[in-house]
Amino acid sequence: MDSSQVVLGQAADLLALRHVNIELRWAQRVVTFGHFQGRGDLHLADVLDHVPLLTEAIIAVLRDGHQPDAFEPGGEFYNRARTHAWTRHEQGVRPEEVVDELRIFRTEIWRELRHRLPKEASLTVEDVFVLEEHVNYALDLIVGASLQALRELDIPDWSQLPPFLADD
Amino acid sequence: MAKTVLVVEDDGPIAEMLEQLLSSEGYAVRTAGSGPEALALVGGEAPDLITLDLALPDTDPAALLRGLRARAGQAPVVVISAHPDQLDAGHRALVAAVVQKPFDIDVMLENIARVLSTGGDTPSRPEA
Repeated sequence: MDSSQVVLGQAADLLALRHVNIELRWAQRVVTFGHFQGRGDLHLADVLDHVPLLTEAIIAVLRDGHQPDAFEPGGEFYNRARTHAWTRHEQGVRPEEVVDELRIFRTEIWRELRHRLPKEASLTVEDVFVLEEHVNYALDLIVGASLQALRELDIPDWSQLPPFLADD
Repeated sequence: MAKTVLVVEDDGPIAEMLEQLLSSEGYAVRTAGSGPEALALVGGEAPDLITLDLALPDTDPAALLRGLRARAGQAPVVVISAHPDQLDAGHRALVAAVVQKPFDIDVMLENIARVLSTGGDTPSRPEA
């Protein structure tokens, strides 16, 4: 097994171990600064929704490599992203806010990897590029699947939804 | 007997998050969604520790902090805030620890355990 495969495995183990911290930090950010600010009608489970299943999709890509079929319509990960995007639509969240919360999710995943990957791993530049390529591949396909799923709703007028407030 | 933590937080999902985290660690948790509710709760049976969100609507955080300290006896206060610099030095001296949002689970739990074990007499650990 080459060193990059070892690093991908370590990253997958780390995300599996620390996913609750990632998801709860992400939830704090969208509730405190983002589109869920002031949404007293929502519970924590509503905010988290399918995000833990999206973390599992990233872990699966790190462990098993690219899985384009899973991100195509009808695929397992596509369906998770679609359910999440449709839930957000029902919650009054705009498409750009769905993308923005996935951007925040990406930031939190990379924060955890940066702080918690074992220091003794001594990652090479190649390892970091391979890791980046896998994590962002999964996240970009989740963003694409989310937008595709929202298009499936065929909403006539997105302006009827509340205005988008950028957080940071 | 389980230590009691009063969570003062108006954001429902964050209050739920803290309640779940602290309960899973064996603490008995009560929650208050506003300053008056918090003051009423500590006026009954004082908790062992209070976590306080500084950004409660329609509430002067410094006045609430003074009120909690006056009513809750020796219960230390851990401030949780996205903007902890809201507290001036005088009020900072009234709190046992400050945790900035978004917080890491382990940083939050470590701070609470440390404050409960020392009564809040030692400086808080800076967040990673």
